Amino acid sequence: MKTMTCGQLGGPCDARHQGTTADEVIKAQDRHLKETVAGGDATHERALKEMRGRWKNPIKGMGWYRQAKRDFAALPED
Amino acid sequence: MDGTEFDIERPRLMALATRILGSDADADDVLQEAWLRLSGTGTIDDLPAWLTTVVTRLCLDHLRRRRTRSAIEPGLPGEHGAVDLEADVLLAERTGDALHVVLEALAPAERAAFVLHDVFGYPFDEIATMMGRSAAAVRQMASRARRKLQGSPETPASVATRVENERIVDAFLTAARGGDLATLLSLLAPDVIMRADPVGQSMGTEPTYEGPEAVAGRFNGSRGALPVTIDGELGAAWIQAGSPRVAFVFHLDETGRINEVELIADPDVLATLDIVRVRGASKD
Repeated sequence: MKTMTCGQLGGPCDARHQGTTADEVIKAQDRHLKETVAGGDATHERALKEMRGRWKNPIKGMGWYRQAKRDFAALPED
Repeated sequence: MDGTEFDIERPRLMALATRILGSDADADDVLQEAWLRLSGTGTIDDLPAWLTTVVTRLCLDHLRRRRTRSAIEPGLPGEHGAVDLEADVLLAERTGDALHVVLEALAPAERAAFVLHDVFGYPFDEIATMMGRSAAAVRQMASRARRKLQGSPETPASVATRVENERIVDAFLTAARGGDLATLLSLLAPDVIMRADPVGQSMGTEPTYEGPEAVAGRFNGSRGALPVTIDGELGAAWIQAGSPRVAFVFHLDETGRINEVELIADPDVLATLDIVRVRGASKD
């Protein structure tokens, strides 16, 4: 199990996401962004917009995704 | 996978998801989820087909969750909500969105089958793969959707048939539990076939069982399957810890005998199904 923060995944806060794979923490970050913005938190809007934009620009978005996977792989286990 | 192929497929997938869901924002969510799944998946032989299947199933899951939410929070869009359909259609005609409004009256699976076939022109065998159901089942769903969209009310004859079919499926499940082979055989059509999905096959079920003896033998003595409706169709399900593990959908011919059974064990497909427990005569 490893942990990445909202900040490490392009967001503005220190919320921690745990997962056994990079996909799990990326999906957790996606949920976190949606929930915080839906709850009225404007500070996460930019990160949510960027996350949403990745599939609309999948070539560029894939670069972010691969980097997030590399970052996750480099982290120590909790 | 460098994203190029997804970029090529994106407009088609977006159109599909928007039509099924009736919402650009919801379609955005589904495509993002599909992209994330694709990003984490290795080599895919037929990417367009894979993406269409993933997007269709995500749309079904989204519709099902939206309908559950709308049942809890009336006022949210959803099937059979407390909406003035006529007024909404009039408003929608002015905004060019009439199809979306009438589609809200359909069950999720009916809606997907109808959009995929009647709007996008996919053949039923491909839709069956996308939805993880049999071709006969998706053909029936699209037909039911068309009838509903045309405003054709259920006739007394069709109500009577439905009630009779419920009785037959109940009798079948009771006979299965009681090991009553003669009754099981009497309720099956001569050309009955049971098809298991790949997950079901990996659990030890044969891909197909053909003929009354084979199908009856598969069910004879089988306990624990509860009577349910599955996307409005008659069925049975093994439910563990509140979640369906295996679902059986029964299709009956015009003589009132079971002529097809679908065995669905794929959790991705089970998650898209509306499985509702019903009170049946087939309790122990």
